[in-house]
Amino acid sequence: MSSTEDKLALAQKEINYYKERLKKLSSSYMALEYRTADLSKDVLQMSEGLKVIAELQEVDADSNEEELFDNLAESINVRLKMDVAAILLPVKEGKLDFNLRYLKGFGSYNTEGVREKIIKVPKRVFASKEGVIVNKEDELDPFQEYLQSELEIENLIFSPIIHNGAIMGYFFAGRRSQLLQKGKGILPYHRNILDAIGGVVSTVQNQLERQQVLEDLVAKRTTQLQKEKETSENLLLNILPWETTQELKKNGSVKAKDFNMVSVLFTDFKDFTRFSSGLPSKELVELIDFYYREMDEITNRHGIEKIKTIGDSYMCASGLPAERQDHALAAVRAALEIRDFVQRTKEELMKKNKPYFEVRIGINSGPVVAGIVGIKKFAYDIWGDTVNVASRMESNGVAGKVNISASTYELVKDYFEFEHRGNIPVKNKGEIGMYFVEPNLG
Amino acid sequence: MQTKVGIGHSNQTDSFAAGKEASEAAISNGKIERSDFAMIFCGGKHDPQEFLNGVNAVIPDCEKAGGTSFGIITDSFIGYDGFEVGVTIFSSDKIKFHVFAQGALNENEFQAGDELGKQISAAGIDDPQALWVFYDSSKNQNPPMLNFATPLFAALEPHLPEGLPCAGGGFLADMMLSQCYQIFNNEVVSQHAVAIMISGDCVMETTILHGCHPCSDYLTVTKAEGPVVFEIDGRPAVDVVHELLGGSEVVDVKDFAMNVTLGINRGDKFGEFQEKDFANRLTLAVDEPNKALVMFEPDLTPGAEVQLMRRNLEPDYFDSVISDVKGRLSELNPFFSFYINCGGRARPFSGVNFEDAEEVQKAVGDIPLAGFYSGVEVARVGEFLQPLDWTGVLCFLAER
Repeated sequence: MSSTEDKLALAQKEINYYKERLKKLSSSYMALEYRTADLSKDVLQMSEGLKVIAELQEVDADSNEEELFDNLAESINVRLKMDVAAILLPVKEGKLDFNLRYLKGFGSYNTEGVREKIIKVPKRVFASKEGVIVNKEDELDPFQEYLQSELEIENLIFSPIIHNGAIMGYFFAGRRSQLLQKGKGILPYHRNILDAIGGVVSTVQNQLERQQVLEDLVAKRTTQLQKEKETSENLLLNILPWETTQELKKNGSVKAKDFNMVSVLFTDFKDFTRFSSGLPSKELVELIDFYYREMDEITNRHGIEKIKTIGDSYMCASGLPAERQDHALAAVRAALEIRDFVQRTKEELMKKNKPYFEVRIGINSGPVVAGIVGIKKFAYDIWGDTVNVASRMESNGVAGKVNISASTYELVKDYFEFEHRGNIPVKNKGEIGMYFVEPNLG
Repeated sequence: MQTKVGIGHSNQTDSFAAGKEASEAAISNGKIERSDFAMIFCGGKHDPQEFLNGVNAVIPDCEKAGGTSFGIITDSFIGYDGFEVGVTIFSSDKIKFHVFAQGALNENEFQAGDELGKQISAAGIDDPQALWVFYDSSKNQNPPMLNFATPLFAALEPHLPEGLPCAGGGFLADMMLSQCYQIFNNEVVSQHAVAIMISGDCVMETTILHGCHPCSDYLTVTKAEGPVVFEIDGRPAVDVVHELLGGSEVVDVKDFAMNVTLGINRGDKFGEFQEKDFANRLTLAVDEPNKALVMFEPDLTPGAEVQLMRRNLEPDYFDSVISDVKGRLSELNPFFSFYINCGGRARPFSGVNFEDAEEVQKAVGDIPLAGFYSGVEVARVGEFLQPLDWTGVLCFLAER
């Protein structure tokens, strides 16, 4: 062989050597590229699944289950590049029939047709708490075939959502076979992603349930507080007139107020001291309570403000805190009713041979000042000469009669019958004209 | 008035609301006072008519063209979940957009291309500067089949002004070749090719972003019928490729689909690698009984020399390629960039560890960017319009 031929042969050998080396390097590179590509695609899909989980963790505490599941089904569809995704919940708790409550299908998928279907999960599948993957090329068991047929998609995953150790529902996600993408429709990592999403759903569900428990507790407490508030207000209304409670709540204090003309009414039980010494105190209190309750009823009915009781004396005023023109009329009517009630009671108790009271009642009309004094056990009270004279009307009266002053008489003289008692001296007041008043029977 | 461009997107699942939201965003982003033309794209899970209704609620009188896309790209958004929509609105006194459409693509791609070319030619447009062509990628039949771009563009090209800058893409609804739609003149149709001729005081520069390098010797296709390559170098095509990839223990033959890419070098055969000279063809499926590769296009005919291509695993080529194009436009006013990107290059499907459209967003910078994910991309390779796979085609429009 000539030297040139040797050189050419050597050169060709060298070329072949490097071509072979290049081929092997290329093969290694391409194999690596293909494996990297597969891994990269899987990692990316996993990261999309993680995004669904991240979105779940951002669920607003105010979200409800409907909103949560609706968004989640859409998120699974979009992120995992499915054609359809749904969350199935039991038709009845404890049953194995599930309906597709939150179904998100797009494109040509028969969303409306599938939505109404009920999926019956066999006992063994339910008990296993395992998910099911169905792919077009796989050999399928009857339940897989059933799912493929009922859910109308060739590749699908049906994966349980485990909440507090029990199945609360199922995820379903399906995709048509990808013509322009290698690989099966559903891959094993889809199960991992849905399991992870299920775990977060359970956590979120717990949060929502706790939230509900807290809300219920708050509602219960609020109701209790409301009741307590109402009780307090009722108590306050027992002590103070309504208008005064409003002023007190609004301003924290109540200003004393002048009333030009009101009628003040006093009652007193005749011989109370003597009477009370002969009765056990419990019985005495019960008896007084019986009378005062009825007096409360009567004054309340006539719109008269009870001021206070002092021992056996009951004091009320008509024409305050809301002023009224007919204050004297109301006071006299109430006084006569009280008198009649005490009288009737006396007759009933006499028949039963039980102790009874007789009452003196006095009314005077004129100006007073009303307000609240003190900071403890405060009470609405009235002051003024009108009050003192009213008290004198009572003390100068007679049991079973309503004794009114001339000033009251002037206001009611057209409505009742009167017995003029003349001018009667009153301690520190000189002489005051007094009248016994009776209903006008005519 | 300088040409204004407004770009908006939405990914609401309600089609009407998405169209409305994207259109309102486009008007607002571009400070558009008068809408002259709009390119509108909606994801494959949307109802295209409802989407169009949503767009028309905002820009009823503006001429529109667009269709279903696998995904959307804008300056600030990339999405391919099927619910993305994109609206680009142009307002210009200097530039005009003329829309043409031709149907029956599924019956005969070549005839459709020829008819479309005749329409464009008959319109006698003054001062044509650039052309975009979009077409329905899927024949929408069972079994699924693609509409081929090779005969479509081969028939269209003779009707176009020589050397007219041109780019295009095949509409794809999803990876299942579901029905997709085209929109023009307020109509929603299927099996159409839509052409948008741009005329006036502007230029279009285009670059190809393959992200692939040859990694084998030249191999010769020795037996092929339509898109099916049966033999390479006289041996079953699958065996040849399998050998190059290291054998069945390393790569499963099922993994060839959407991965194996063969490149044709239209430039200097043994010269330095020039991305612009390569046309890549991706494997759509493997015909295992016949040990054949089913390609996206039927242009790998017997005698064609191809190389097995490897993908760039690093996004290091975008900046320099895009900077070169921007450099060519430095004396002009580039007002819009448009990226037609292969759906397979979206990150969940590409297997590379970066989002290539993000790299384009960065490199394009402050020039408004819109785009969509396609089935097949079209650009000039050498002197001819060439359907491309696994490719991004980036266009810049600039005012003179």
